[in-house]
Amino acid sequence: MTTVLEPPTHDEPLDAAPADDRDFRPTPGGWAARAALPIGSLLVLFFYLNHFAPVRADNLSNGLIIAVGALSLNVLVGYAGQISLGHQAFIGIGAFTSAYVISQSHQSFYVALVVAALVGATQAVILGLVALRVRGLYFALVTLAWGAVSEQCIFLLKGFTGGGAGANAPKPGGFTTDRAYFVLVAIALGVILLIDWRMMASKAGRAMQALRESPQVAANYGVNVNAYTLLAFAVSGFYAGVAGALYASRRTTVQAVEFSFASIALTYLIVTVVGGLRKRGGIVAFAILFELGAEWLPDLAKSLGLPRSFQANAGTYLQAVSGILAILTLIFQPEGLGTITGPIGKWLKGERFHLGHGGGGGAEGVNARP
Amino acid sequence: MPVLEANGISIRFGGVQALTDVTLTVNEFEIVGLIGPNGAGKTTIFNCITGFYRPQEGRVRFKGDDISDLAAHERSALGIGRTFQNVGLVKSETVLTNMLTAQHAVIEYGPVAGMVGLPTTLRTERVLKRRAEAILDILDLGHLRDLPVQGLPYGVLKRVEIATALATDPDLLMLDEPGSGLGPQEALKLGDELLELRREFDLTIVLIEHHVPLVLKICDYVYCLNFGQLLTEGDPISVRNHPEVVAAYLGEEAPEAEEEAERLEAGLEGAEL
Repeated sequence: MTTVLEPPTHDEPLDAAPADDRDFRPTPGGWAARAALPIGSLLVLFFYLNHFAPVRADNLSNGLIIAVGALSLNVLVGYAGQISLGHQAFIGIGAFTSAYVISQSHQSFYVALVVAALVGATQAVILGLVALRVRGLYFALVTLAWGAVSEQCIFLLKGFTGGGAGANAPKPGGFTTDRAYFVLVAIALGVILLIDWRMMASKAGRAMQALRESPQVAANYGVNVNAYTLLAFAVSGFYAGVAGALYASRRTTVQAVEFSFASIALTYLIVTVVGGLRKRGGIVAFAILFELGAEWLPDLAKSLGLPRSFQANAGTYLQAVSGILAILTLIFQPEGLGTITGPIGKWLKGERFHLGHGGGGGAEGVNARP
Repeated sequence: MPVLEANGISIRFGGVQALTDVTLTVNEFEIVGLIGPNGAGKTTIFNCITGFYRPQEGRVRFKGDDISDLAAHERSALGIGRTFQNVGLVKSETVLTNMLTAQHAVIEYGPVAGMVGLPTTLRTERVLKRRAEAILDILDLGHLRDLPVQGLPYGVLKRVEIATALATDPDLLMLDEPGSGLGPQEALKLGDELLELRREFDLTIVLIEHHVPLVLKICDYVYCLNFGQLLTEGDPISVRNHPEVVAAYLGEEAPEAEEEAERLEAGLEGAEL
């Protein structure tokens, strides 16, 4: 008797999703619910802006500006796997460039916005040239130094930034009120989100994702790793320039002291991480939550009857809380708020609601390449 | 006309001479096998040809042009597709996204046009997707398109990698142990598929493979490397029967050991008597 040994088969059923999920179409009621969410949030926003003092609109603008800055970091840290600990330089150079173009060259805000974005991209590419030669922890130190140099030298150049006194950057005509300016900032954020979305759905974004994980695989796919690393820096600098220009005109004056490591670079990095690397919805959501927190925490502390010292400092405690949140995010939920916003986005597009169906990712983008 | 000519390739890493004066020629539409024991330098010569290593001596010509000074991504764009021994895929992405990324050099629009979403880029993206799906279907991988690469079994990954290599639109496909992780039956089935792919995509194929029946079945010509040097070359059967090749694979017995064995045998026979 001979027994025939069957060769092992690898034909395990492998399917992307259960069949009923792929053929899923929402009911009319489901579509109504999906339409209700964005319309509802717009109504809430409208009520929020109109019901409270205009200063609320101004603060909310700040939230959206943080979102643009955090999206800028997301391109470097999330997509390309580089690190920047000197983002106050990116934002600050954008802000002072915009102020300079408006008040010294007497150009319109819109010209200043474009110039700031291009200057932002240029300085980022110069930093990127360093990143091609110095990697990992050493490059992180270079970015830290670039932030410090900007704070201590570039932002104190009298001809460029007005020295310590600051520079003027008036709001553009038609958007001089806080509420109108909020609309302008929202449009800018919308454009940045659109660019970011198209980038990730096309050649450049896919190249960045590939080179983050493995420069070798990327090159084998035909991607020029150095060129696309520089492109990531350019895009990040471009976003940061826009954020800087919006930042400058929001306050109408900018001063060097505003661009410190703690208030810009660290805050934006935390927003990026807690919002979720590579999750633009989560990043925008957390930027807004962060700003609302800074605004409402003092009120909340007062209504809870907490000690006066706590009431006065409630805003700054937010930073500490966010730092802890960032650590917890990295350990337990590397996709950050994106874990929630991702499924909501898919649901809005007419798919079934699934928590934790984001796929892949992980925290590997945080670690710069060795 | 030869598609690939590697002439006198020598490369050292520090004090280790990894390759010494290796010369390979691959003609159009041939399937050429590269065999040899572990550490013989097979993957190293792949890396020299695809541009991941720069040999200290020797030139590489592709379709008649000297490509020795080109970077890896430029060689890929010229039409050298390659798979890796330990799977070269973007692991956090889905199979489909890997297929789209692999078509990078085929895409005509610029990166900035893609970012602002020009209509031509949207049209191109649809074409890329259709092409990716067509290749996946040919390799029976269509049902995996939306799965992340991470978590797929090894044998499937090797197949997905062949699909991504095909997506780079190669004229020369270089496969580093495509049959590893496959059983004997499956390896022979892979051989049939490679013959089919050569016909369908007009390919010239170079493969590193340990699976001898597969090499004998599909290769037109075989090179055998040992200790970084070309041991022999020729048609598959004659290379397999070459005494030095047999010795390189099975290990050469030292003469003293042989004598010792004979003595022992004699001794045992004596004891029995």
